[in-house]
Amino acid sequence: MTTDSNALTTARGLCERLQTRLSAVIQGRDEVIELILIGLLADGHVMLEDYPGSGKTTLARALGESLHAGDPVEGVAAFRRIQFTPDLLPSDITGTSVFDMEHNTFVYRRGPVFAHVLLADEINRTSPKVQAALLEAMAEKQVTVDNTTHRLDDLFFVIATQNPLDVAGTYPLPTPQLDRFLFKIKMKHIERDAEIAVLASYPTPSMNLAEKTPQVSRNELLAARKALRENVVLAPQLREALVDLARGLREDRRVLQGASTRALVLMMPALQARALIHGRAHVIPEDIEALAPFVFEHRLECTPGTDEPADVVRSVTAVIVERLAKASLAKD
Amino acid sequence: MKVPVPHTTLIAERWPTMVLRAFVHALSAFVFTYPLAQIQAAVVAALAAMLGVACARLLARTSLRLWALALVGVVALIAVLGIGQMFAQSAELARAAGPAIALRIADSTSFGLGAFVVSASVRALSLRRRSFALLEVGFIALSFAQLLIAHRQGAINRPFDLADPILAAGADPTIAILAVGGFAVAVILVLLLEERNALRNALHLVAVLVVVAIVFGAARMIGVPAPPPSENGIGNRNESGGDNPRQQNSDGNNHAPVAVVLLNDDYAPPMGTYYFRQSALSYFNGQRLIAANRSDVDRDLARSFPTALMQVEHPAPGTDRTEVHTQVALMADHARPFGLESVESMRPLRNPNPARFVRAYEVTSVALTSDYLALLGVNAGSATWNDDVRSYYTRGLSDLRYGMLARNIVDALPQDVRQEPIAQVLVITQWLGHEGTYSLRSHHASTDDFLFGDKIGYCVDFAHAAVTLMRAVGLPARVATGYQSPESARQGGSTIVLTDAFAHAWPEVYLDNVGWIVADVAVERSLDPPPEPPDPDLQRLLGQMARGEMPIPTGSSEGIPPLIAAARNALRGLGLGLLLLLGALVVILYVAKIWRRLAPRFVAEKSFARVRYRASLDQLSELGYRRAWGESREAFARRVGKLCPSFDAITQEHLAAKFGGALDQARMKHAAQSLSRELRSHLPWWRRTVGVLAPFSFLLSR
Repeated sequence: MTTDSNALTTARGLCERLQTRLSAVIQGRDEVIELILIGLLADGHVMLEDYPGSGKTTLARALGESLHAGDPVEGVAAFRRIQFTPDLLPSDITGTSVFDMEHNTFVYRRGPVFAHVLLADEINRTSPKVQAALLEAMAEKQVTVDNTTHRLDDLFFVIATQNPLDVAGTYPLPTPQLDRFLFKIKMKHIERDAEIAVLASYPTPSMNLAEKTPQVSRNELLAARKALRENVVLAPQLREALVDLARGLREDRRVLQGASTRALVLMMPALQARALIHGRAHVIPEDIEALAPFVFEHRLECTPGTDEPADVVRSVTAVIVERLAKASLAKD
Repeated sequence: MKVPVPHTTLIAERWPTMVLRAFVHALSAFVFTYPLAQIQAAVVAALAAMLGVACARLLARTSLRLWALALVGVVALIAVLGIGQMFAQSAELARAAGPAIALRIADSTSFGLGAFVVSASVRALSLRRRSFALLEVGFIALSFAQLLIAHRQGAINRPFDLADPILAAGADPTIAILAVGGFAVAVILVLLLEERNALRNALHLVAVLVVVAIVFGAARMIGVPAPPPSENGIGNRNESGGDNPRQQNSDGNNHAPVAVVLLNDDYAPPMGTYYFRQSALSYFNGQRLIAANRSDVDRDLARSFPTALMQVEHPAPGTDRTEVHTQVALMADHARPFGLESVESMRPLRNPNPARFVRAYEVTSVALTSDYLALLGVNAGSATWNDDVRSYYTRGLSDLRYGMLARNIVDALPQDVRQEPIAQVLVITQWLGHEGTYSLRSHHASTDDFLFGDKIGYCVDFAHAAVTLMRAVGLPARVATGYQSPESARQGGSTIVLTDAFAHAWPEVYLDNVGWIVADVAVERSLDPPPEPPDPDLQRLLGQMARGEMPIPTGSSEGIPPLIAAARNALRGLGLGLLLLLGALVVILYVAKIWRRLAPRFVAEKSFARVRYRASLDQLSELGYRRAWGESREAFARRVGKLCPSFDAITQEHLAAKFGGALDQARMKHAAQSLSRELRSHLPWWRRTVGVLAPFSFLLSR
């Protein structure tokens, strides 16, 4: 019990440190920061649907910089960024074999995918072949070059972005590929006050707070993942609620293709991560309510004429939330 | 991708609204049919209207266009009415089922099918497009107007089925009519407000106002429905002289009663008509006759309402007259009192029914008993008059034509009676009655215009012409105004109901020792229909009211049948039982409420969090703070967090206990105490009191 709560306390401290560092750099994006942290802790990847200049690179870089090199893994960088273009090739991501004149052999040179935090910018601008290479890496945590499989590090977190408006000459990701992302986050423009604060801190953003807060090591992060999976309680009735939610979405008249079981499996640690960030050792219905739109919205294929998948998710979630709220007053 | 919305998309409706609409349609159909047909037909119409509302959805879902849908409705309505007519005129049906049942079947068919078609098409149209809801509103308004229209023009006993029980209970039916109207308005408003869109609500309101304005404008122009006479029914024609007694409603179609006269003595007028004199026009101002401007003439008139026993200054002499007592109850304000000619004295009476009557007084009259023949040989004018008064009453137009015409008329008399005043009077009135034509629509500015023109006029023209001719032969005459009522209008009773249609002006002549006698012109040709006699039922009812009796409609005076008495007793028992049940229910609710509040002190540890949370929920619920549907407990706690921050802690602990966290009982107890404190300090005492008193508040907490 004590070790459990110790591990949780440590994990919570880690979250706070990351939150402090990130929000010191990015202003007015607390919700996005929280979701990205949840993704990081739940071992899921995040898609940011975004417009240029909204600070996503800064965010990803800050996240990479928050991981300190105390126990570096050989050949894995803390942060990498790939700007996707139509002429990119899979080997530009995964790395390629180069002929070594000295030893007369092919030597594998690692690509940018070998990183803890990878920013895949404008992922829909590249060809499906390249997208598929990245998606394999995301799902399997490995890359295969010349029939040789190379393992990626356990801490491999992808933040992909795409611009939803500028779609000419793009290759939109189909729903099954989007399924590999835990969250799809639609970022909104930041508040007026936050924007004023951003301008005020120009040209040198106040990095003081970020620099003062200790960095987080890879091992700490992996330990936190383990701790929250083991120690944050996910009550059976909430697991039932998750299943009911997915079934409700599949049965909804407006939905052609509902959420996968994988979505539910991925969502469980995310719920636990959110509980942890909010200082709880148990998941509550609100966690489901808060995360459901980000988890399910991009996984739904809706009938023509349905404007907003978010509305579908919201209405089905409301039913589940109501059921949970009612059940919570019933006798055990 | 957006697909085009098909045009058969219907307006969504929640089921309570649908039920309400079905009910409203049924009620409207019932109310519409009830005055027009048998009760069975009304019930059938109500059921059919409900069915129509149910079928409207199917109709609206067809691919017919909007105008085609409307056309289908109209054609179907015409067809249905045709079928009803066919049934009504079918001899076979009458032979087979008997005439009464055949009539019922015909009524039920036409009204039932009609209600079905109207409800279905109106509903279908407004399901397609919201603006057609106005049609629905018009339909409801029409139904209720149709029910209540019989009540207008002072017919307080109509509609019978509504008014009779209320009258029997001793109350005023007008209140009930107003209540029914108010109910209709409320129903219409509910339907209009069903619209959640504020802009559309405002539009509806504007539409209603426009309709009202149009109705008012139309009423102004066309003259329907005439307002009841608010001021002097005959008018106080002092200066303008010879004002039209019926000017207010030149159609003479207004049957709203303005006064009720009760005959306390049996008196039949010798000429078959009662004359109620209110005022007289005797002063000739060079052109016309106007009311006297001196105090020594027309002193037989009562100039103001009596406040105590009031003797008329110069009553008519007693010859050929008998004393008659009458009671007058005014329903509209009059400028001066009137009474059966000739008034001797007046005395105020207690108003028998202040809701209905303006004032009441008793009149003692000395009424003429002899007919005109008996007055042969009586001199015109009074021996007591001085020359001034005599010339006052005989002054007329200096135009020579009048003298010549009058002499020509009088010369037609036989030699022996040519000098008899009463014979002269009669020959003049007879001549006018023979030569003239009566029409209310024809008014003449002057007597010349009438007498030497088309001779088409109304009572004022005839009265002025007669008086001018009489004065031309030296007879003292004047125009009297007031009401006139044929004896037949009594309809066997002792009550005379006076309406504006009875307002009249007539010539009078003074005979020595007899006084002023009525010398009315009986016009032989009339362009107008004679005024309708008042509704005998209303007449009886108003008579009873004027006597201060409890008006009981015929039929219910024989005592209450035992069946109804039994039903009444059963109802009373049922009511008492219901009341007791209600009381018991309230007590149970209070007990449950108190238990739920106190339970946290007694329950086992395992359910403490749940019970404690429930108690706090109840506490918030009775103050009106309740979780909305689909709102999570956490979101609710945040929502009320401004008012009571402690509730958040209670919610957290409850959720922790429920979803596998660690429960901190002490924190929860402490938070519950702070919650009570916060509620006490933030909410006014009256709101908390109301909350505590509401027995059902805990049923609403969720």
